[in-house]
Amino acid sequence: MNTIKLSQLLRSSLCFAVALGLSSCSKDDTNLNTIPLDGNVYTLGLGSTTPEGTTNFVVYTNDLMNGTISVVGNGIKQDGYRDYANIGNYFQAVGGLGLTDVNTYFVQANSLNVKTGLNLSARPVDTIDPDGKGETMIAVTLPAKPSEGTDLSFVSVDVASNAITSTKKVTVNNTKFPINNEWMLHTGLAIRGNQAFQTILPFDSEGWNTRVTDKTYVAVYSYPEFVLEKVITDERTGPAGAFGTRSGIFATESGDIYTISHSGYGYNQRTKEPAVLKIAAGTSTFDTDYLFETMKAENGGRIVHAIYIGNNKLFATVSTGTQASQWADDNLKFAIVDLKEEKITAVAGSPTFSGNGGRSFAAFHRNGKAYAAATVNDVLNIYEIDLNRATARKGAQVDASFVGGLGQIK
Amino acid sequence: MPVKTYFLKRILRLPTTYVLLTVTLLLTVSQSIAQDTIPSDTIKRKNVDEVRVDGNATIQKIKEQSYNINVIDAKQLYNSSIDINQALNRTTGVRVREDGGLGSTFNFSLNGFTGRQVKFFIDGLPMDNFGSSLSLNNLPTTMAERIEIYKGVLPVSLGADALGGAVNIVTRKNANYLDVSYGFGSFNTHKAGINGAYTDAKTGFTVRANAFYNYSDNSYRVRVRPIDLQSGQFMEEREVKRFHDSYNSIGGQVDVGLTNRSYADHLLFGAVVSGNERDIQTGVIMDQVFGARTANSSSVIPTLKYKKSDLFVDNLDFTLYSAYNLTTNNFIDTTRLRYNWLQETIPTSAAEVVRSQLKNKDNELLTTANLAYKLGEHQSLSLNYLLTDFRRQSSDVEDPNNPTFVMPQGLRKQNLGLAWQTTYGGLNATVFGKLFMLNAKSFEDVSATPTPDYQATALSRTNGGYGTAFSYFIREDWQAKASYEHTYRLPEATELLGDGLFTRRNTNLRPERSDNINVGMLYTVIKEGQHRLNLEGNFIFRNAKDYIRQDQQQSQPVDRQFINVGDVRTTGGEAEIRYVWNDRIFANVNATYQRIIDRTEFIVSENLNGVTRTPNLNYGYRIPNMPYFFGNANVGARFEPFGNDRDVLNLNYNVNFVERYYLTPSQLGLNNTDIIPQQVSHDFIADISFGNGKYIVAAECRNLLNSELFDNYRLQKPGRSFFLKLRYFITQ
Repeated sequence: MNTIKLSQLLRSSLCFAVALGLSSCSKDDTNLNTIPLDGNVYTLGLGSTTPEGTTNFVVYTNDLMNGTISVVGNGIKQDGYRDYANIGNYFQAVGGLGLTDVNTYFVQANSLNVKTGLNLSARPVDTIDPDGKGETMIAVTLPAKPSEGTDLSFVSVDVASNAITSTKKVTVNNTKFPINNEWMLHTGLAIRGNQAFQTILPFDSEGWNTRVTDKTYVAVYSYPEFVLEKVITDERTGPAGAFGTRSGIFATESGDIYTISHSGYGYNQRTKEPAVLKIAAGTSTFDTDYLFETMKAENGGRIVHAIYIGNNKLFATVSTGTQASQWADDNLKFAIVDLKEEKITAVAGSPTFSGNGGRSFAAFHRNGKAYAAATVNDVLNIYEIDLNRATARKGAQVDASFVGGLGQIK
Repeated sequence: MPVKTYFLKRILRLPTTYVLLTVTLLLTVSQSIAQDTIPSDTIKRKNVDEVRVDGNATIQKIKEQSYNINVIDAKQLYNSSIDINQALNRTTGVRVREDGGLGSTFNFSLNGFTGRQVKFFIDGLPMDNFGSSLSLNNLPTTMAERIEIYKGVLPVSLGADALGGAVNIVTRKNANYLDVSYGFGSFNTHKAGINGAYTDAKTGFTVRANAFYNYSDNSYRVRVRPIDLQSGQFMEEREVKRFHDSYNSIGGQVDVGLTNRSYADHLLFGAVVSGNERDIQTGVIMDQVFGARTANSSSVIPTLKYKKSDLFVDNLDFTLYSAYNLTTNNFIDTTRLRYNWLQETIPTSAAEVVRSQLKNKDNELLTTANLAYKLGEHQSLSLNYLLTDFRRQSSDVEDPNNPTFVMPQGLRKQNLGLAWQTTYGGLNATVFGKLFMLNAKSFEDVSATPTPDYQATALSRTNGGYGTAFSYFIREDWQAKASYEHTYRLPEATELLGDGLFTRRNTNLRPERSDNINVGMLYTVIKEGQHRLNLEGNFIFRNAKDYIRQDQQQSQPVDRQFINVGDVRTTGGEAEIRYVWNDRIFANVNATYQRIIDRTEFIVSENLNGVTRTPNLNYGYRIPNMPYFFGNANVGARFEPFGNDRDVLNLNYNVNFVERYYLTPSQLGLNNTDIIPQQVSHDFIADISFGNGKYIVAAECRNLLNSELFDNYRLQKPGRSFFLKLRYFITQ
């Protein structure tokens, strides 16, 4: 009898094992869904938040205006938190798990390629193209508080080889940067000829307060040596830029430099009205004749996020209404800001939306068109903005939680 | 430096002094045992029992409770070098995932529940806040009589807001014994343990003591791509030795008092003292390598244990276990260097990552009391009360002005449980209700300006849970079981009230809740004779809602909230087959399969920008980073090479299998490569006892095939390792 029981048992356990095996094989391999790489190739840095956490992907497409762009079965997974840059025809995903690596995507022989293997010693607070040639990326690193380090560094990366070509360090202390006894945030970097201009924001790194808000601060460096020459200030408005937004300072083709102070997102104290200031070409002091108070202008507000689009103009998101709290990044609308003419043009058809807060502005422009993303009624879409006509058109739907980066690599 | 900490540090630096003290104490015990002249027959029989693989009557009885319960008979593991965590890893429903070697941090999951959703007890006392030197990867199996794993449904005697179940370590209660062991092995690993008890039958004077010491360099080889610190570029992949991963822990427990008196079954005063030191080799993945970061922990826990049967009236039993936990955890990062895997360095301006000498001082009062009353032959009532009052004070000399440090947080939990139980023939039924009362204290910055203004805040909550469990012997050899509980995990103080900076209060936060169902069957296929065969199968269902997690939708870097996001449904099955042939060959196979599915349709985030609703792209898919299919097989053989049944040779082979799973949702991205690969590890142990079973030598090989093993994403575990253990055991 025992033998019968045994064989019965063997049979049933075999069935159980088979059942387990079958159920564990239920996942199908996803088919490669290659998009032809002829024509325009756009890249998106997309984040998908699930209850378990956020996952980041680089997705590429030939069409930003139609259909749906999704991360389901699509996109190249990126380790950890990511920020993005679009230097020339390269799209960089910068970040990682514990480390900060740089994955550089580009098109070669009609296929998408990636260069990996580069590690930065810290997560950059900014990545810019210093000369607009699309060959170099300057990554700025600045620790969030002195206990993480006191070196501000400017790392030059040759984007084609994804390799560091130089690292310049500046020690941050109150002698070099006279900003009371505060730590500082980097809020923007602009290069003009043999000088670099950096907007800084005095910051309480312990309590995340903005306690020194009565001046605009610009650190002036020699370029490309990044030797600190001086820190210039102006009391007509507050500090330029804000935590993480990378929209504090812009250089124009003619050599003028503009600083953008909004005292909105990221500030828990506002002592000056938002304003744009100018450092005229050929000088490294503030132009006392120029003051562009953005709240008072027609279609005005706080210029929280912006990219430079040429001819003294910014493509920006402008926040209207009162700033509800330190970290509110809301009531945003697309706008075109003429820095020289001191004019803000509202973009017709722009949605009103909330920003991604402490992130660089996910936007780029080519051939008179800018592209950005906005969530309206819980749906995330790409928007195409005609920069000459100042009109917005809703484009592709994005099935992801947020657009962290947007660019074009072909 | 406080006297206590100073003393502890001295102890930790002088382990020899400590070990000597303990040895002296235990030698006294052993002498007393020897003086009491134990009949040698008793020793023999006990020793034979000890190596039996089919379990003893107590274990069987516990297994036959109505709950879905696994019981590990720790006695079977005394000759092995494995710790309690690794023992748990061989049972159904449990995965313990380690970051590395001895002493590394671990993640415990039970049927998909992790973290504070699963509670740990030692003799019924919650040990969640006992510090890292008293965690399950330090405690040797030799200190335990058995380990009980309750799945989903908890008896009231384990009073805690455990959402997914609990593990209870039952310590050894032998009256007179001494068990000493020392072992050493690969990666310069040393493990020593002493357990003993002495009871004077006439006076009732009792001493119970145990101590452990663990040390390892954890210098195992890993495959990595080192980073060139100058250029920032990855180099070619190569094999390197871990170089900053040593771990040591030392601990001891002494109970002194009286047993078997008219006024007390036992009345014991005691203390647990322990400490550890840990080097930290890597970050979240192995690419991030450290060369100087360390952590250490020390705990002092005075205890009181009291038990009295027939208190005031017949059949009324009372037990009390009280403890005061003083634990300090330190974390140190003060070296201004960055390391790579080749042990090259470059200078940094503050620390390896963040300059820190963080010190967390935890104080916790714990008391559990239980009243059990037998109402006649068939029924009984049980009332359980548990109090935990936890306070943490953090400080950091490197960061003295951190606002989160000026605000001590407190959390008091009181749990009350009442159960009614009945037994009629083969039927066993219990119905219970539980009351969870929470009182949280914290501070909040109420200032509207950049100058902070901290005010104390407090909040109380009460929740009720309930459940039932049945078991019935359909036939003598078939036992059917079913149990259900509506259970909660209450929020922690930070989750509810914030910490003033990084976390903002959310008084609308609800406790995590779950409806847990188990249905199971125990089948004794063949009870007697040459072959013996047992089967067990369980079906599990968990419907968990309102998981508490930090809101990731908010745009700010600080001042975030914990929110209720995450509904998870688990259906699964577990099965085990145990076979014995002639008391000579033992085999055991188990498997666990669980479908742990994300049922959160939208991620709703309510903050200053208003309410945002984002579709959850993982809705209907598996929860990532969670093992879902795993199993164990074990084959053992027992020989009597010296022709007597005291001196035996045991051979034991264990294989552990885990199916591969994904770190991130597998359906997102094209060909997601975030894979924790399939793992198969083989362990082998041979032990032989001689001198009438008093002396035991055991040789062990873990990860026999030198497989590359990963419990976590890109964190490689040790390769093949060897261990030799010597053990001396006597008992009365």
